Amino acid sequence: MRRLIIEVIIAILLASAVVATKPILFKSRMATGNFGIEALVDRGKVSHLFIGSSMFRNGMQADDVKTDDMYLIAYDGNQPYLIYKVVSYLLKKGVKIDNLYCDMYAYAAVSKPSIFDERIFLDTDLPFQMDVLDEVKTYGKGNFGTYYDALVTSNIEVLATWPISYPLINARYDRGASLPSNEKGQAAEALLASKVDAAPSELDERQLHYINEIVKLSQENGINLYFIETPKYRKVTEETSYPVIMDKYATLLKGTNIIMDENTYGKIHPQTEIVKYPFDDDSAENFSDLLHLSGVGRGLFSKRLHKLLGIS
Amino acid sequence: MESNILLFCLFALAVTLVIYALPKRFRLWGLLLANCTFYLMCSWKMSVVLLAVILLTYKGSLWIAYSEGKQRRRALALTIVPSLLLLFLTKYIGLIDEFARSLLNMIGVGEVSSNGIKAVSILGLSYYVFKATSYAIDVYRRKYEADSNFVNVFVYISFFAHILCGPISRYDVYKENLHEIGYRETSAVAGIRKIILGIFMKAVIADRLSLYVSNIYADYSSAPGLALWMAAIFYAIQLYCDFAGYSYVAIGFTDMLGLRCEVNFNRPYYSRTIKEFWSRWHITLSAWLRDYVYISLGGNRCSRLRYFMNVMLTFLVSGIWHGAGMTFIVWGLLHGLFVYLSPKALSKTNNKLLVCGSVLVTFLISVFLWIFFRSESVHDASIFIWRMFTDVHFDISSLQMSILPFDNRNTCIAKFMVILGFILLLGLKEWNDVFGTMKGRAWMRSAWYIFMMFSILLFGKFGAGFIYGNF
Repeated sequence: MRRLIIEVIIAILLASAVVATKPILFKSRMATGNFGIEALVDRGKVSHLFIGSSMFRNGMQADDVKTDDMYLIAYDGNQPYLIYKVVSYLLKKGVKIDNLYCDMYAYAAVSKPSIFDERIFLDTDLPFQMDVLDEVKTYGKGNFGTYYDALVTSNIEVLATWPISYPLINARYDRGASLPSNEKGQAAEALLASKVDAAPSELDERQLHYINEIVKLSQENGINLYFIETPKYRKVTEETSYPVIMDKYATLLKGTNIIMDENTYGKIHPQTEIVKYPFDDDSAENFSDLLHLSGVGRGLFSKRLHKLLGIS
Repeated sequence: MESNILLFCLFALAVTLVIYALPKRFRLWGLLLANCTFYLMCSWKMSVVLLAVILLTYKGSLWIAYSEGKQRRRALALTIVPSLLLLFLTKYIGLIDEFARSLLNMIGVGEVSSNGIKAVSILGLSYYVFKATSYAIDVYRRKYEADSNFVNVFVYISFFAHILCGPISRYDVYKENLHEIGYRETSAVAGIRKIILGIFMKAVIADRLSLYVSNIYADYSSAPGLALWMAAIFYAIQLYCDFAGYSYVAIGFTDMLGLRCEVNFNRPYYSRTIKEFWSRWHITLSAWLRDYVYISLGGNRCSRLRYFMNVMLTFLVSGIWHGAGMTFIVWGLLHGLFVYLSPKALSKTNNKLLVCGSVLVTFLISVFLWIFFRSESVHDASIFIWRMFTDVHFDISSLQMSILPFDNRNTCIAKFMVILGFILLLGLKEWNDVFGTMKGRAWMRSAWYIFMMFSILLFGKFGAGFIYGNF
């Protein structure tokens, strides 16, 4: 029994040592990478910062942006509360931002605060992580397991295989955005057969609070703020709740720059000025699933958006 | 609790500590209370079925013990048939309904609408009915006396550590230490070591593979052939680590409580033939089928044709036990065929090349047969296998598409490498256990256990259910 107890103690000590050094190891190594928060902190300033969910990551590439001064931060399922916290974090770390482009995704605004993508814990510090976890625990569905997953097990595979996996992952990014690709989307039948997750049509109170906070934070720091909707396959915008949420979202952002797909714009009754862009939402070739653009769709949308923003 | 190994372990640990603290004369009662609490917490609505099976087995076995001749046979039939019938009906009622409707439609009665009858899931029924049946048959065969103490029988059939996914332990083994329940250092340490191995297999390997396997099987028609090969092999490993992992945990807690239990897995993927595979995989079920089905049918002391039929029937029962559907029946029959065809010479040879080759071939056969086990239909399984051979391309795009389903993110490569590392380590450890290429020293054993605990803490995934809990 004594030997077993010693084995247990050694295992716990070793695991604790890894957990304690994990953030330091990640942070320092990611500063020179092509993606992530720490690489942006290392730059110190950015003119055009895009921040959003996987729809932003799949929807944007940086090859046609002349200036090196653009950067994209994207986490799967990113919600307004997390966008606010990341921007605050960057400002606290001294990053100077001129223009901020936030993902305007209807279903993220109606969900309770949650963490879908543990990569947010790759290169942020402990106070930030605890702040995010407390938010999820208080207002979302967090519990002890959420803390354990985030602080102990998250990204452990990347750390364990760092010399091989990190260069492979890093090579897939350019200024945080996806690389150009000719990959075509799914067949129309497959997209039409996919289901859109049912969602409430009321904005979540916490997300609503943080949308207002993003606007306030931008004003206080002299940042030009934009909210951008990425194209969705037409089936999504035909869902009853989607245009209803987008209508409320747009109304909430009255006075802020909003850029929206023409197709969605046609289904809402905006109380505010909105810049529209045309996009073929019926072409299955442009979509890898109902919400995400394919390589082909990404190329088309990025060029159109960057031209609209005057950065290409 | 029935679907989370961590909660199960916490419950079992609490029970073990309480049992240790109780005076010796109350320990069996403590275990009885723990069994009742566990079942009521997991499935209180179905506890009446468990109670009925226990009462029937207890009373019926006493009746068997006091009867002779035809009366004895009748007593046995009345004791085991209701439970086995219940087991069969709960699993197959939906399928029988569907079959009957198709038949009526076929003979021209007209379109018969569905009655909405579905298979009923009763927690642990397959396991405790088999335990109860083995007890009654052993009493009938005069292997041991019927136990007149109801608590002993109750605790045996409803033992919380075995009720979810086995092992299907035998009464004589269980009774050996029944009055020795409590702390004994040697068995407690052995038990804890088994629990560590079990959690490692379940939480670090099986549950890490489950997402990948589910992703591929859900959309196998569009996955590249390479991904199908990976999913088929990974499913074989997932199933093993899931089930053997739970078995090690269950046996570990049995050891900790001071009770005895048979081994349920013995490195099955190092078998040289499918026949040997079944002496290493789910050993307690194989032994049950051998003792109560195969031998009852006449075993191998008969003509070649009869022997073939006996093997096929035994594996047909095994297939039926595992689930309702043609996939399980085909899986069972194919296993029967391979058992029948297993060459005896391979189990005796010392030729290293032949041993390695036969282990590899046996592993691949089991991998292919698990495809039937995992697929929704025989048609799906056939197409799955067909595409494994006709749609394999070794290019970068195919490789990327085969690795991506590990988490559908760019971190998939890291997850793939980590799980591959764990599988290789476990494989090497088992290779060494079977073939003894490297003699184990105390520090090496300690290092292995430290590594497993370290991996559980940092790489463990908790929350997924047990695959074999569905059977």
